[in-house]
Amino acid sequence: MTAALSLTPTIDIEPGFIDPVRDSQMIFRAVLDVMARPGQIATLPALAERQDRLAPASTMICLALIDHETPLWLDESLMIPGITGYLRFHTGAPLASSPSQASVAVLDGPSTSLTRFKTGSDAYPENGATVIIQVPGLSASGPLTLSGPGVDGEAGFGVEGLPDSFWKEREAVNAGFPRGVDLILCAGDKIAALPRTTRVSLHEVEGDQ
Amino acid sequence: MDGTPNAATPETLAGYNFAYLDEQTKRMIRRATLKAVAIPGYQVPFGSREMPLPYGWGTGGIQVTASIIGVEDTLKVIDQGADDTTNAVNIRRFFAKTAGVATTEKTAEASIIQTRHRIPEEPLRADQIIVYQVPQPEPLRFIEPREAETRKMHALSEYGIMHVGLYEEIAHFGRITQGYNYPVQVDDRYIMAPSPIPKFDNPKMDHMPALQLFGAGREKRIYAVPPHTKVKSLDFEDHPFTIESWEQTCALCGSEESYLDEVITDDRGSRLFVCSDSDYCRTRRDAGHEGSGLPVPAEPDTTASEPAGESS
Ligand SMILES: [Zn+2]
Repeated sequence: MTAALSLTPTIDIEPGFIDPVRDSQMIFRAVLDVMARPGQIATLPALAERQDRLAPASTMICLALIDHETPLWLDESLMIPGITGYLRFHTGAPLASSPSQASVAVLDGPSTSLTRFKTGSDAYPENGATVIIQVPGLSASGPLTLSGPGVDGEAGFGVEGLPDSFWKEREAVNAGFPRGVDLILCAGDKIAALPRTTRVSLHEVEGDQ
Repeated sequence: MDGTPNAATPETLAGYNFAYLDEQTKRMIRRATLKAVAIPGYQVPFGSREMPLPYGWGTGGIQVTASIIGVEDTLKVIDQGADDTTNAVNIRRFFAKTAGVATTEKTAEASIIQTRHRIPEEPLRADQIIVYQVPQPEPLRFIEPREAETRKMHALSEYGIMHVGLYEEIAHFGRITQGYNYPVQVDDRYIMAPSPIPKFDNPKMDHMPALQLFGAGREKRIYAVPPHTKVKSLDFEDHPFTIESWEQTCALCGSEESYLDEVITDDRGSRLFVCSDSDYCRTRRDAGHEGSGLPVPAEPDTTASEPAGESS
């Protein structure tokens, strides 16, 4: 990496995208693709580096998609100067004072209940939050079965690090469609999305959805 | 990270913002597009920007295309099925100039297809995105002029009035007369305007493998249908949805399956029926298919409705 920009005497800011116009477009298209195809896993190109506990994928999605119009919530483990300084410098996104104020959130694991985020209203459901969750791993086969718009019939899916209770909570949060919360899961440089429309069922609790 | 700057971006070469729009506007449209995909058929409001083309030229579709397109894309633009109309040529040139992208007239070669009034005959694939230019995104507008009311109807799925409106047409005319922009319901939830495509194209939207995006510039709305999503044309048990059909086949390629345009060939009203999708027709002819080449004599047209003159 080249010399970091110095914002204050104590915080060095790492570079963001080298070619912001092109790199933002590439990351956005990857996110669009997985949002349109729930459970499909994409590997993002290495266009920016991990920032401390902020995974490469979460870092790049933030660089590509947030700005001063998108209040950002970071969970406690991500609220460290190396991350907040970096995102503020490169995106200008204001930090939300609570999850309910955020339009975009990044969580390192299931740290914050999904019930605390905005789901939008029936008239303006697009105000539901986009929640990025960092997880240890994603797989195209696993204990979860996905269905709904964007899924051709049914698709297998596996996420490490999210307990069964997480899926129950997600289902409850999205029960009032069109209100809901849209998830982007990040594992290192890999991403997958679960928009509010995706029905997730656990094999273990078959018949108990 | 290997930091090789891409010095060849069209921005630096030609003095344009890549794909014309500034980055702040693109981010805003991109976020709206992601929410549109997450809520299939729902019209997401967005802050439409002034474009260097009047509204009638498809500014909504252009803004969506400008926000998704990248240097590796290949763009096809069609207008009423044809690649060579002024509208299609201008939009293609616009992106070739401002984004430096490759363009094509071949449906199979395109990664993004921007369209006004048609869906290509050739089935679209999962690695393609179709962007529709939309003049009027609100399917309930003809029944209810007030935005606050239609928003409430969508919010609460109060679509009874829509069915009443359609049924009144059946009572008056014996059928639903709308041949274009025929309303659909997406994933059993939102009623959506498919843009002024002929209802012939409606079944192609159902469970299409490609992502479908819709942009309305004047009304400032973006909406979407994800791949493999149910899209049902509204109908009634005693009046099921039907599409246009023709007694004629394409005079050039002989196709019995495509949407046909009628071309008047002489002052006695003789008509030639040819594929509306010019790439489809050309591809078939290149493969050796032939039509009769003959016009048919004038007679009252009872087979298909005239193309709507509405523009986006
Ligand atoms: Zn033909």
